[in-house]
Amino acid sequence: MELAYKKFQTDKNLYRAIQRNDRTALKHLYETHFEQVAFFVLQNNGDRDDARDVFQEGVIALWTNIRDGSYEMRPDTKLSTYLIKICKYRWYEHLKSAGYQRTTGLSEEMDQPEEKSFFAQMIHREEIEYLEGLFGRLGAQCQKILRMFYYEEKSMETIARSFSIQENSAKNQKYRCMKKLKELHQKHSQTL
Amino acid sequence: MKINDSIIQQYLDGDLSEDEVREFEKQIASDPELQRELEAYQKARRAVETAALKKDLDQIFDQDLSDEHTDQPVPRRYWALAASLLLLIGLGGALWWQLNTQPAKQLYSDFYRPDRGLPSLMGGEDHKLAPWEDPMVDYKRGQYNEAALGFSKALGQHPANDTVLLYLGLSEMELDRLDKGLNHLQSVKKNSGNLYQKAQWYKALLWLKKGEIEKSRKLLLEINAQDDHPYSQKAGRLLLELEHSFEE
Repeated sequence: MELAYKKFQTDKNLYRAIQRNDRTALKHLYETHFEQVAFFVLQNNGDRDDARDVFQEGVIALWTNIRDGSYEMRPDTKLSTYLIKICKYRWYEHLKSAGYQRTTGLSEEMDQPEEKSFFAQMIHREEIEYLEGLFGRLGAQCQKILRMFYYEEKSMETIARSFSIQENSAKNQKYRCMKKLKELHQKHSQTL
Repeated sequence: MKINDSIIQQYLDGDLSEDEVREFEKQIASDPELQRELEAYQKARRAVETAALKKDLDQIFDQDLSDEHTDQPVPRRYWALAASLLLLIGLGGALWWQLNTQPAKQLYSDFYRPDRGLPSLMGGEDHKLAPWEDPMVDYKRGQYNEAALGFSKALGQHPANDTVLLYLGLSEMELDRLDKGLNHLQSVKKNSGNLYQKAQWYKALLWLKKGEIEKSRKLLLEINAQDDHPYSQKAGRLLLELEHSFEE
């Protein structure tokens, strides 16, 4: 994976790649930083599955905030340092709620106000699984259309072409699929 | 402006004009019902992005990181010992069979990872559960006997449900009921998308476990040939390992 490493030696490249939804950028994050987070989690009463979950939450949070513009690159903080910090803090928060007192290797503090607010809006595991379950209830075609439109940010024209349908038909399907997804969520929250 | 589902979606997608946006936001500000609708749509959008991203991240993790640190459940030593014992007893036929399936079983252990299962919606009393939700909880806890029973029961009422078929097959694989498992995996329909792709991968592993190398290889080639198949890269690695093992 030397190519990916060279490609992302600067934060700017990594940041732009994540904005563009470049999969190699996500891969780079895992290959370069996961083991560090795993080491921390294992040192602090966790296992590899816990590390996997916590790292995923961190990457999802980072991705979301880069995409909607609320994470801005700063000259003094590296993206990777930031990512590792939020993962460690996420694990620390989990331990605290489970009653553990001491953590090894957590010397930094979440003292910056932006970091605190970022951390506060992180989506937690239960919510991630809920959203995944919700999406999974849609049919395969709906999933594909919505994924292409909202995640891959493809144009309606491209989407229509990939299904060999008219653009109007694709728009219609996307509309109906989103409506269905919204209603599934509403139905679920009404039963709670 | 009459705000309906279509308008809300257009607003979220950034397809309204400046004037329309202003009009929309003015109306929404004084209508809690509409605000709830908007929030529900925002959640729906979040669901798409999160689910899609999570799928990619899981794939990245499964392909690159999960094979590195887990222990081999069956040490090579055991198989070598069994082989030499058979040699001593002089069961030529059994020895031939043992030596032929030994590398295959080793590869199976190297590449097999139990599937994590599907997340379930945490519902209230009125929430209609999908037929697989209860046995899925058992499956995720590693209670494969209970899971198999539950999925079997669900299959009785929903004989064509691909999720039930897949996870029943996976549970049976865990319980070493290979023929039953294969049967159910083979029934997962092609149009079920991701479920079918999983079924293909596990079928290939199952053939390997049974010592049916050629059948496994054929299926792995099929999987590897599709760029967007979630197990494409893994299949490629397993194919290389298979070549390597059977050269010697």
